[in-house]
Amino acid sequence: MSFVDTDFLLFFPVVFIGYWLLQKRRWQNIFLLLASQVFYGWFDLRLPLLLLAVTGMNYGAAILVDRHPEQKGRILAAAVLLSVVNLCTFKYFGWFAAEIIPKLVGPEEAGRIAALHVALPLGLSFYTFHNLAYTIDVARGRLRVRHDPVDYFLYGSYFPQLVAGPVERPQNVLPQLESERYFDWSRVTSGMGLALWGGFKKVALADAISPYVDLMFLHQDPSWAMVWTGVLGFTIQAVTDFSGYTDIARGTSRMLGIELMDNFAHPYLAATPMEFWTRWHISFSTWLRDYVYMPACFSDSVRDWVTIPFTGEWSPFWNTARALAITMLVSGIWHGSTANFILWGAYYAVIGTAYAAVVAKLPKKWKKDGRWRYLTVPVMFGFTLFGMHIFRQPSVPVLLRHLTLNPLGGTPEQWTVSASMLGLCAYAALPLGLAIVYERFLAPRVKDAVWFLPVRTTVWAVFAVAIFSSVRTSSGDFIYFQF
Amino acid sequence: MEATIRRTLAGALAVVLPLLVLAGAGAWLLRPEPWSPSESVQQIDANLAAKPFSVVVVGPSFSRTDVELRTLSENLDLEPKGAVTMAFNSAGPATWYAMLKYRVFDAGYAPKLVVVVTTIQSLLAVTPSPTYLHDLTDQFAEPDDTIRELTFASERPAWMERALQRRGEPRAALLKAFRDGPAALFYVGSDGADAETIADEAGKEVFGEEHEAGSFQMVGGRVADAHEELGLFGGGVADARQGYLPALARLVHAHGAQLVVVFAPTAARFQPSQYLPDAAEAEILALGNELGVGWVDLRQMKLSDDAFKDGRHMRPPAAKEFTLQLAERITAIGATRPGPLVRPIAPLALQSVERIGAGPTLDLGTVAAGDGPCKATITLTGAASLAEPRLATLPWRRRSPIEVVQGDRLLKRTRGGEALTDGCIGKYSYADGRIDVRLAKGPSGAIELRLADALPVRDGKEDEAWWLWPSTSLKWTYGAPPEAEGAELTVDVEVRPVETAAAAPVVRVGERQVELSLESGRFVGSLSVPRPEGPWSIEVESPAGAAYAEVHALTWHVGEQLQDVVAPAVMRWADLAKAAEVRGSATSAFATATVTPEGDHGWIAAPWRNVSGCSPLSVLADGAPLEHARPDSFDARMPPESGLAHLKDRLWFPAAAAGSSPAYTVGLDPERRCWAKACRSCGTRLWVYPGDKLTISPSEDTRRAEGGLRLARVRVLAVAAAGESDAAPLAFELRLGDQTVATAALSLAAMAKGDEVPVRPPVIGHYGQPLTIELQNPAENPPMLFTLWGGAD
Repeated sequence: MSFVDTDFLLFFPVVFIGYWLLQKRRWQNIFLLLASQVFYGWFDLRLPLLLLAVTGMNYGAAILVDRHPEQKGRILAAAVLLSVVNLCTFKYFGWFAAEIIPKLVGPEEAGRIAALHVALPLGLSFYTFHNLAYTIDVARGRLRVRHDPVDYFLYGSYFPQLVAGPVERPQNVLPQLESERYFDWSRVTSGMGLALWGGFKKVALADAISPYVDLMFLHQDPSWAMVWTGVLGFTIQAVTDFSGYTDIARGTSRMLGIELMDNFAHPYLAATPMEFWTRWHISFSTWLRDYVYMPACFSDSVRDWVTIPFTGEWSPFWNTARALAITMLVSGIWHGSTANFILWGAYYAVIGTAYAAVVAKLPKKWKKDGRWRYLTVPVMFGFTLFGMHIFRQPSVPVLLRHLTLNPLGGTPEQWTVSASMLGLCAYAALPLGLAIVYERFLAPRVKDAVWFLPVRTTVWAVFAVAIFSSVRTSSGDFIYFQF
Repeated sequence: MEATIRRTLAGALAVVLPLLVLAGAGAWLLRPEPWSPSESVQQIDANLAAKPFSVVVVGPSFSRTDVELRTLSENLDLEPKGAVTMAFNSAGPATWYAMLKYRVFDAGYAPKLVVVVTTIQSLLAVTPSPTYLHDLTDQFAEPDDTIRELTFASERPAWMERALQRRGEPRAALLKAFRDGPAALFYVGSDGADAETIADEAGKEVFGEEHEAGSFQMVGGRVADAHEELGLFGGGVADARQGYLPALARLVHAHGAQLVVVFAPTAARFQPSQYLPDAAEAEILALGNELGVGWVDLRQMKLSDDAFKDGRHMRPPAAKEFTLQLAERITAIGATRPGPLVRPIAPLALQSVERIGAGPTLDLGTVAAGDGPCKATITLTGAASLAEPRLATLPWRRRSPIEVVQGDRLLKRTRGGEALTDGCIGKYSYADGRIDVRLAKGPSGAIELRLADALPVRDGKEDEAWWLWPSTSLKWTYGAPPEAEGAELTVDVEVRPVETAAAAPVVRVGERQVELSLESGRFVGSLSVPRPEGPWSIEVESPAGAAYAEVHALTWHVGEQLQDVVAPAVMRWADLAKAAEVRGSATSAFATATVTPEGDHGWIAAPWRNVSGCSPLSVLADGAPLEHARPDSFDARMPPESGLAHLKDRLWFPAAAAGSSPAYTVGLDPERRCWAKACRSCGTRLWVYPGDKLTISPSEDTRRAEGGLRLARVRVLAVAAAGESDAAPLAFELRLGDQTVATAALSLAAMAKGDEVPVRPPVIGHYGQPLTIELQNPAENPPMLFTLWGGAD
């Protein structure tokens, strides 16, 4: 089920009450494990089987690594390979069936294979990375192996972060699952507030402007203004949608006494691409950093591989650049098999490298002067817009056509709808801006004030009313469900 | 302390303020829907209030044009006199229901009869088309559970629907403000248009049909949108049980009224579209019967295309005629009084009837030229068994299967009693093993004999025969009967061969064979099998070497489905009377009579004059009844066909044989029938004697007519007798089951000799309960002749 389904409004209170009534950690974990299977199986009864299989495979692999450290390389490689093959099979089956298989077998056989329509199970990417992080960290010696199947399987299938992240780390979650949790009203209310804020962002903001954004992107012959206001709209939609979902996940988890990592930190206030990735989908970015970028940077074999074919030289800068390129390409491919995602990955690799090259040349005092952000943040936002355009537009020829449009072209009606799109962007961005103002300037002063409590609860009530008035019976899926 | 108070107050406010927000939002969402009647609703309300009424007519536009309200109310026995129509273009069941509920019953009106004039397809509709949705939604502030569930596909309670409908309004307003404001700022040349118009127009121009997606309509939040998304507009259901018919029946019956559904006729070109497949129609009919809904099916009413303005809406003359028939039918089914209605039974449709096998080749015999122009004689040889004398043994002697063809021209056969005159008249007649032919004018061709293989062979309007010849079979195939628990299929058959000493036919019901027995030269049999689940058939096969035969009777029934396969398409009162069991209470007292000899005959003074062509009297000689009295004295006087003749006030009969002196008594013929040679309708007449309570119970066979029992006239003829002008009324009652569907007091005061008092019994169609006719003739009256006579509409 989805967080914005009415089913979840019935599911979670039952889980919440049952969980806290149980009191003991062991029973709470068992209860949560079962509840997570119900949550995941709500979409399709077969999904928990796959989830348990992936989780079980990593659980077993880590135990094997612990028992046979001399084989840990092979065991880890096998676990990673199995996980990646499993993920790729589901994720890229359609692309394989359309592009590769016809070249290998006859069209008739290819058609038969394509007719299988293998769909991507919801959240497969997230819990694959989630589980792989554990296995890799155990293999690296950074984490103690877990033998308790209940605790581990709960870690692997914990429902708040199961289908769209955050991509949690075992170092964060496992200790919490292995500790007693005690009912704390302040955490419960804080979690409820966070979940309401997330729901508000998703339902009242992202879903509100998404139909108009879709119109802009589906138009066959948009003007330059339509393209870029549409991109702006999508940019705002993406952050409200994704961060909204994450906040719901974190909020509900906080209500259960388990703290999940923050996944978004005002990404559009980033001044550089590298900073952007420390603010956007933080859990996934750090996962890529730790399990792709770092190995790419420091692995001898990778270093040799990237050195010999490309430049024949090795330097820290180019090493970083290459690692970044590998990481961003992996990220792009993970998002999808179409050319635009690969282009998107390459784009961020290029601008990341370019920024690193430019920043490296700047005087240190400039880098320390916060006023630079008044320039760098908008410039970076411009690059982000460009990147979002690549991300959202699946057709590269259309993308290129959009890039060559006349900025002053378009009919008066097209300018009008572009202005409408700007207005809707303002609608969605305003609450985000107010949230930033609150966090930066007001919260430190008022959050402990006695009178702030009724203000906070009243705002939550307003969020609840806004969610009720905005949620559609066939609500748009979370954007990142598709990944 | 102060801090504690502040914390407590803050805590309280932290609970109260959100609750106020939620309560305020809830109150706003759940506030009662404001409603003010539209112009059309006000018009309807004004019409209803204008004058008293007992009949409400609802339907689409043709319910207004086709039904003349004054004619309808005047011809229905309902008080107060008055009828109103509530009709909208293309109005469907949802709108009828809404109008009846909100305009009529909830407003306190109590009509006795609701007449829905519609098409059968409409009974499956649950949603109006978008164009006419407002006719429905205008009727109410918010729909009741029925409309919400059936039309708007919502199972949610009213308050939740209200909340869901309204919840998107503030959001939409806010979004529109953000969308429209910048649009107005940017748009050049706005011509004074407001911001919303500018943004909307631009959106339509740029996005076309997709514009609605950006108009912030809530999927599921607004009924109209939810409906559109679900694709339900203008849609219906496959099963009438899931439509509005049950709800309409419940609504109308709960207020003590009867509900009648009427299918109106159309111009010929639209007629095929007025029907659903037989099985679907039967299902709807069965549902209506179950719900106690009356049906009046006038789709086959004979109206020329000119009777319609546009093929659908009648012109006033046709509307009057239609309304009169409608009133008659409504009365006939008992809808003008409380209680169960006459339930029609949908007949099971025949899928096919076929003759399997080619039949024998007729040996023509010898064709000889006659003794004059255009004369010829055919001496039958191989077809001798089909010669006239043989056919004469059969009641339907005129329906010979032989056809005489001259070239490509079919010659006509002479009627019974018609002489074959000379001349080139293109006719033939049978005579003693030969066929005398008068050729037709024009190019002559070879004379050919062939078997008339039409199914059935018809001669004239009524007579028919299902001929079966050797090495062929006749097969009737039906579709699957409707669901009925524990019902068996029973088939009764009678096959009459031309020659009695002939091989027996083989009759099969599906794979099961019917056991036949030979009785009086006829093969009869009956077989019951479990109700078939799918299509089934009856096959009557004549083996090689068997005689020509006629399938004289073939009936079947399963559950309430009945059919007389070889009966005429329409069961008339005449047939009903023939098959009736007649029980009279008056005794047939016989008194000794004084005989006056006259020549070879004698006569007895009859207590009543015979003016009706029939006689109620019977004469016994030494206790043995003479032949039934015939009205034709010519017969009585003509040996050897002498018999008992009632001529005026005398009963004539042949004198007793020499040397005998029987004692004669005269009294009433206990069989109460009218006997006459060559009198087609005499068998349909029945005597009702003084003091008689005559009960006529037609046999169940009469239910089996394919077309059902149709409208006919009932005549009562008075026997001329002293004091007939003072005769007390004859009481007539027609009952279906326990329900009286027609009564009449047949007053004879104005009746002159030979006049009839017409009684128009109701149209029964296919009926599901036993039919009983009762007549009571007061003791002081003379015998009265009751005639069941008539035909189809």
